[in-house]
Amino acid sequence: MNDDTREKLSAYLDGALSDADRLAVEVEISRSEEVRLEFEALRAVSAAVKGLPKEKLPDGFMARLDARRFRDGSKPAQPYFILPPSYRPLAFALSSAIVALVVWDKNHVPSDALEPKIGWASQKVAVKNAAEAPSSIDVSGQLSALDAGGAGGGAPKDESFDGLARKDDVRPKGADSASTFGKHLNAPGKPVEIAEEPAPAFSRTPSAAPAAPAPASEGTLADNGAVSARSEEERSAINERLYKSFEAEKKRMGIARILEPESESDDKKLSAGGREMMALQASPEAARLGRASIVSSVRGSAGAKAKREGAPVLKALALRSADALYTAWAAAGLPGAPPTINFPEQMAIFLAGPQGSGIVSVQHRRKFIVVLYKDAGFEDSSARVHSVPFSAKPVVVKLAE
Amino acid sequence: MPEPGSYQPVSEQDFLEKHSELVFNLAFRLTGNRSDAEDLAQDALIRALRALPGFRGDSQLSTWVYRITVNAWKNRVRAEKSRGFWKTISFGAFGNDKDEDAPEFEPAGKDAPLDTDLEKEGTAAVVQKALLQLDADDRAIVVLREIEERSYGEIGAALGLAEGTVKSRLFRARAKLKILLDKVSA
Repeated sequence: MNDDTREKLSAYLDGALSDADRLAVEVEISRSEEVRLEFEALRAVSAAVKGLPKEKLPDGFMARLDARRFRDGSKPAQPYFILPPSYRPLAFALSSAIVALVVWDKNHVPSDALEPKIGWASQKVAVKNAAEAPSSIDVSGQLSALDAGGAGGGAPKDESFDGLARKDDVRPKGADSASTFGKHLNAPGKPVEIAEEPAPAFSRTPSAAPAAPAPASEGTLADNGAVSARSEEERSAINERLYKSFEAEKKRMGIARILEPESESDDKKLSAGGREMMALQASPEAARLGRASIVSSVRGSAGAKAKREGAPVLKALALRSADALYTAWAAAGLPGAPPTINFPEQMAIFLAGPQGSGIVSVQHRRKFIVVLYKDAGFEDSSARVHSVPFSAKPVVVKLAE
Repeated sequence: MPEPGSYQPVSEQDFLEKHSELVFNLAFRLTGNRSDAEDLAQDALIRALRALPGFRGDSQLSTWVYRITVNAWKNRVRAEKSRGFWKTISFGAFGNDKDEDAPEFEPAGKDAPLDTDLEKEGTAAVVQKALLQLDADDRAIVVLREIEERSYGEIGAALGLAEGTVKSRLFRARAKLKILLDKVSA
């Protein structure tokens, strides 16, 4: 029996043969025992498969199907969430418009907000960023006015901001400032004129502030880029900003930590560099040192270790004039005279540290000037000063390995 | 073949009510276990529901659904083969590999009554295992012909094969099944 006959038997089983073929197969089955057995075998196989039971749907099949359709996104939970698809461009346009309105509103300053109000000797100032900011904001008059209007003017107020502001605003010509103090108020550019007699830093005497007088009732301001504080709230806001900036600056310079040493180790740290730095900063001569390139960083694993072990944390000043160098030298109480530096082609790195500390070397890196120091072993005070080519790069102080 | 233009669209609900069990049965015979069958059936039904709005009655709806189910299953088989994880082929010739959803054979105790249902269940499991030895197309042809009782033309339409091919492959599949079942009987 060949495959052709077998195939016909299979088709005969399915009733898929033509009449002629069907008759021929029937004749073969009746004539040949082999063909008949083959046909019976095929029929048995077919019957066995046909006899397989129908499977019922598993419990929860439809619920799981629904969940899967929803998960796959082929079946929305609702026919339309909010709008039918044809309305989606409109919805998109509306949402974009709302976003644009919010952004515009956030950046928009109402014109009447900047207009001086009748009877107020104020000045219109619109400050959007630091570059546009006036070089200085003098609130001393305002503070004086407030002080004068206070409780008899006798009780000392907070620290005199005018003195502090003046000290911090003083920047030697051409010096780069690494400080962020008052950055939101002070822009690079026009420096503030300072008084002939420098105001004592941290003065608690409000009356020491030489400021342009202003009508107390209005809280007016100095002429030089002054901002008008037109209300109690604005004056409070300015005071608060100044105070916060001052606190941040103190923290950045490490001054806050060293004001009140509570332990011997604290005092050791203070005496190392912080106290000297504070002295420099609090000195009446601080204005001549300038605020540029004051560095208080200690980097590297050795520095971190030194910090952990309470080793002195030193600071350094980048000084750009002989005057500033002499001032720093004297403020630090060092004997004799500082070494000669070829200003302005060169500048002096001055290490504020304990006796015996000194600069080992100065490295010029791509982004920093790295000052490697040791906190002991230098008998000569001139080791505290190192001349380097003039650079505006920040200075990083590292403990030498 | 339905008359052109005679097709009346059905709602999703009607479609699911009429074809879910049919698709699940086909999926069960193709995959050999209920969990894979459910996964395949859901996959096929979701695909069918997505395509339902575009169905224009060029063939019977059931044939169309069969084709979607078989194609979904063949895609899976190909993917699993390529990953080497085609579990359904790992039975061996009625070997010892166990499928957790397949019926277990348990020896009856001496006092156990003759249970024709149990006997049927055992026979069904044997046939199912034999069926799983066939390759994908042959298995689909046998299932559609013997279980779903589809004509050669419908099977060809569902599988994308010519009627003559269906006829010859069905014959070969039956012959192979016969050999496999003979092995079990022996």
